Amino acid sequence: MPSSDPLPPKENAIFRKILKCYEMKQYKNGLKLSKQILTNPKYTEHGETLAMKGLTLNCLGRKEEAYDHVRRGLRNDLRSHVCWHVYGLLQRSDKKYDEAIKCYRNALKWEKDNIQILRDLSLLQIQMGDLEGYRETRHQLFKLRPSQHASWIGFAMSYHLLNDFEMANSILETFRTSQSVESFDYKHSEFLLYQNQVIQESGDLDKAFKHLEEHQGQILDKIAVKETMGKISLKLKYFDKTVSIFMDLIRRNPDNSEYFKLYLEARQITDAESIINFYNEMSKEYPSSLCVKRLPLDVATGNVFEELITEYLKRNLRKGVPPLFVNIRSLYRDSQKVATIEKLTLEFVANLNSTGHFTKDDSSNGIPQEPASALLWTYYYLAQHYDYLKNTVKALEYVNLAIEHTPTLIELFVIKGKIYKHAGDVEEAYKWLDEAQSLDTADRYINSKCAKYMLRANKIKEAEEMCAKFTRDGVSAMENLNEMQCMWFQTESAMAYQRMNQLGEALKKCHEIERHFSEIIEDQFDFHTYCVRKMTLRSYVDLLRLETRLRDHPFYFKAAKCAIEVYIKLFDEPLKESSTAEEANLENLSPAELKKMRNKQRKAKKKAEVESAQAAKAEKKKEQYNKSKQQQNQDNGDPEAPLLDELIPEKLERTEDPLGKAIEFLKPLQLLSKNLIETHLMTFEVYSRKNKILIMLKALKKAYAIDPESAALHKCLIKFTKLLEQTLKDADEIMKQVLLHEITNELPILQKKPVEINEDFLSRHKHRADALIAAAEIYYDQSDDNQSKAIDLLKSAFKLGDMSLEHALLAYNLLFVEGKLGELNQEVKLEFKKLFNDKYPFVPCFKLESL
Amino acid sequence: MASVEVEVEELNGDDQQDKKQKKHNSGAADLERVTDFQEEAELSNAIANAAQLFVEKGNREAEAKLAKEVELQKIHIKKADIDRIVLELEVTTSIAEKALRENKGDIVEALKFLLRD
Repeated sequence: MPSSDPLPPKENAIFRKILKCYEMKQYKNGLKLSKQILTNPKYTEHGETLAMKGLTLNCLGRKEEAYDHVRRGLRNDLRSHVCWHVYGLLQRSDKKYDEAIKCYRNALKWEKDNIQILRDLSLLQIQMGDLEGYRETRHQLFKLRPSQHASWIGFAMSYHLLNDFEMANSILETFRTSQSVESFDYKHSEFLLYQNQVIQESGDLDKAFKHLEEHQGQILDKIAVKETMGKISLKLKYFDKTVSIFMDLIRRNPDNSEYFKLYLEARQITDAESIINFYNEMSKEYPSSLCVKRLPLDVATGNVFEELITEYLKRNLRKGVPPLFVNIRSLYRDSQKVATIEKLTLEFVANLNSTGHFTKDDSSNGIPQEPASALLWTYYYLAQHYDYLKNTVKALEYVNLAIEHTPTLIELFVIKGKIYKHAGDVEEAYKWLDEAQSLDTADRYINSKCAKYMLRANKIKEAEEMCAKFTRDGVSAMENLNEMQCMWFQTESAMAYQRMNQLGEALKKCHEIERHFSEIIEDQFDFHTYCVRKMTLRSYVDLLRLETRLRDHPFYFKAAKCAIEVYIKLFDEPLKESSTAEEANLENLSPAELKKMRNKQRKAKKKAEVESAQAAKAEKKKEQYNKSKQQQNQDNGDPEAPLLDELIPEKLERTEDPLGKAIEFLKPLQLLSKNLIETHLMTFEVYSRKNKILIMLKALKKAYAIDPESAALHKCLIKFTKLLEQTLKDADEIMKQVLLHEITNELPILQKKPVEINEDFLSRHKHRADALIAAAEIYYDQSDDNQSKAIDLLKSAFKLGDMSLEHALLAYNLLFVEGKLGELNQEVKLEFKKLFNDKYPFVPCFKLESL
Repeated sequence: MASVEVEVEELNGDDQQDKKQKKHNSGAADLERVTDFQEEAELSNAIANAAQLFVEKGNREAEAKLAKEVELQKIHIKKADIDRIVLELEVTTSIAEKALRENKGDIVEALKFLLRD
């Protein structure tokens, strides 16, 4: 279709050059050329040229001018697809994808078969996850350009993403037969592996296997072929083939435990003895393989285990392998093995101290003495061993022996800190990590560990200073860590601020993390064209699938949980305006007190002035830094993404709609972390404050399906039954029908009375500490008369084997912090203090003097 | 048609002057020069015929989808019911509408349906 406002040939040629310049990123030339057209009095208002000039300006970071030009261009030529397309591109660069899609659609109205616009539209659709729309657009493109590679690949992929494997494969197969293959054709190799992935996902493993067999000559990633063939043939029970494939792979890499596992599965060997024999033979063939020594420990028992583990421990302790404990920690599931290991290592210590050998046999057999470090690493091992078994006293004893032996080994101080952390003393823990860190300030790992321990102890400023040793000069560490998307630091800071009740600061950190996730999703944009062009389709599809579930990442969960809790707290107890709070206090003060206060205020003001002067200085520095950064970005021709609102703690904690903000964090969890019970319990808490009974019910249903016996869920169920009674009285017909249907068919437990539910729950879980604590809270909540009953329940929890530090802290909060069991008399208080302190002597708040 | 695919023409940019500055950062500089422009590889004509088959299948799918939507549009639903669902479950209007249509306009069934998924 011809342009609605055509230029004469000479100008038109220039216009084409502008387009070319834009594509080749020669923006300055583009501007010069557009000036040539626009200075011609006849064409000063030529729409398409104005639009292109705007687009070029946008690429140079001159956003306002860009919008100006593009809008003016569009107004002058509303029927031009170029103007609409450009407006769409501009919106896209501002991440306003919905708006951009609308613009593209308008452009397509005037030029429905424009390949470039359709391509841009398809990019946005895949970016937004609109798979149906993506398929339609790819269909359109395929119809228009069936002779292009990308048309076929994109069309096939659009079906693959919608799980129509048959159709995807038949498109790929037709495409494949039309290809002439050169030697070492990497793209073709990737293509074949992608096609194979599609066939595998369709479930037709036979076909997938044959496909690989037939084309393996053309696939360059030999290991991928072998591994895939091995796994498929195992699933198809072609055992002979599988055995030879994995033997081959083991030959290539005898340290991949997966190969051994699948090999044994194919050999169908299951009894421990044969497995151990097999590994024994393998160790002759591959003497340097670690796998063949470690893997038999998983299946061996009794004397055989003792024999094997003795050798294994000796070898590693002799060499001084620091991660030895981590390496065999999985064996600790078996209490027999734990006992054997403990017996052996204690013997080692005794013998090393007396004769310098691990065992008596060693010394009588004339084996040379072990190196002095052997004793050190054995102490180190035992410290970790006892720490794992929660025996803090013994763990400390051994780590101290080790430190006495060699006072300069960093690992020892790290473990000492860890032992204190596990015992509940975060303060002491961070001090030991600080000690460790001071022994090697150039080690980034230990530096980060130390910072993390500091955050656990609420020492945010110290942690920031610690990290500053490794962040860029001239910028505050906090900012630099944000820029580097250092999320472990930010989640831990958020939680530290939350513990210290600095809610605005906590929210700031949570929002920063949320922005990282948005940014990561943004960043996939470049891959949509790149991966199709380079044929790295397997990784591309993996990436697309990753992006749709990105926010199921633990970092997001932690940040969201923290933010939701804080927003709920702000809803329950909104902050007062800071100034009014002060004035209210003034009214009921005596003159003397007033004078005192004025003095104080004057001092504070002076101090504040000094501080603000310093702050202003810092601000100036920051500004300069920002400016130089912007300058840098412009030089690179990549204008900074649209500037987001600055996150200001004071504003965040005074939001008008805390629940709405909480829901923003909650939504991705509901979508992606629906197999975590906490997601649904948080949903319940948020919506109970909005009185949305159906959403609460839905949350309970989902939580119940995950773990019907959860103590936290139990509390919610009780809360809900109470609410239900009232609601059913007032509800209209619709509500009644829905609620009654749900209760009878989906959650019959809700038909019972709260008291009954609690009794039942308790009788089912007499052996669970968390159940006893939850039940106790509910008892007292039901009636003040139940206080002694509730207290007895808590006491009995201490006698249970599964009582852990977390449970103790829960009980402590209930009794002394939240006061949810009412006023306690002195005698009861003392009794509990003793209980807490006896069981967890290292926890600071349990110490007798601090209670 | 002012297509974006036009023939290549050499243009000497003035962005060469700062090349020296970027010596240390040559990787990033190279990346900056990457454009989305690409010559499309053409396939033989024979395959274009095979393509027709898939085009038709795509067309048929689009038609079937349209037919289903038309069918759903025929069902009568009340605006008040949509609003009620949105109020109770805080879902978007389009989800509420779809749930109502798929349950023949019965609000109780629609609510139960939305509580299930």
